[in-house]
Amino acid sequence: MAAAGSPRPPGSTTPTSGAVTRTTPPATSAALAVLRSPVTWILFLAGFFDGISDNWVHALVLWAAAYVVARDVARRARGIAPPTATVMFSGSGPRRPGLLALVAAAAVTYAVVAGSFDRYTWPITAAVVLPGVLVLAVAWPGPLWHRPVPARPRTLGTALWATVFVAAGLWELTALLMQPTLQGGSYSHPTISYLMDTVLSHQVGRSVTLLVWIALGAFLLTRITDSGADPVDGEEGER
Amino acid sequence: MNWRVLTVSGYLVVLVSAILLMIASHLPSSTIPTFGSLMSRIMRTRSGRIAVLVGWLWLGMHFFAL
Repeated sequence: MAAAGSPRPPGSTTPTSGAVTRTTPPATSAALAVLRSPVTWILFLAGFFDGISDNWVHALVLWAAAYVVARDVARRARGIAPPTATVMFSGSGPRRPGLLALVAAAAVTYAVVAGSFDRYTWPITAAVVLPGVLVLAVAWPGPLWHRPVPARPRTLGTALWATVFVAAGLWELTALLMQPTLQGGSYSHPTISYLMDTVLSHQVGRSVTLLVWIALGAFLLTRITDSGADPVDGEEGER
Repeated sequence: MNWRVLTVSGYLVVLVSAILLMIASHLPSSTIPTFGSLMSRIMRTRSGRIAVLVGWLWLGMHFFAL
């Protein structure tokens, strides 16, 4: 029995003045919602291209994320409300300069230590995966602090950003496909990964790149907002 | 102009465009959203959060991890 006030799941029958109207079956509605979800498609296709470039472990990570997102979208489409987003800390964010300095010092120490490891070894793999999983676990339930959803931006502004992101993706994909093989880099058609090989062959380059990477993760973590109600990728936001 | 110069130039055009958008978004009365507010909009749902943060994790794994 559905709880009072809960959303009526698709596929249920709705009595209207004695007549009964049948809506879309829940499984069909969930499948359509997943097919309409661009986030799921982006993650799936990114995993596919990473896989055929011989990075099957990384492809599995992307496909696992695609599955999680698809399941989330499907549950919403079936009328199963997501758990209420929880806020980890009270207030509106760290304001103490001492705390920020401590976090910055920890990030630099992390980058120097992790950058001392060679690429594609177990130590640096752990140094990247562990904070990554920690960030995902922290972000899963909701924002760190109360942070209102920004107003919907103008279409033109969003389109300009989208153009840059799509152009970057297509240019990288073009370079990848113009390599003699997908597994080997090309001097004439370098991908960003190929260009970064020179930078990442030195410890300083690795440390600087890791510092930028961890700073980006921290930045993204602080940009998570309270749940919004506008639909994103074909679904309703958490309430 | 050889293929390498053309390819690298393409990346530079994208990079410069992103920097220009960032600058323009911070100008007074700009209608272009900042990168941060764009990410906030995307990450207001759980699937948006997971997609963006897995993308970030994948970036680190791609360049460093086994």
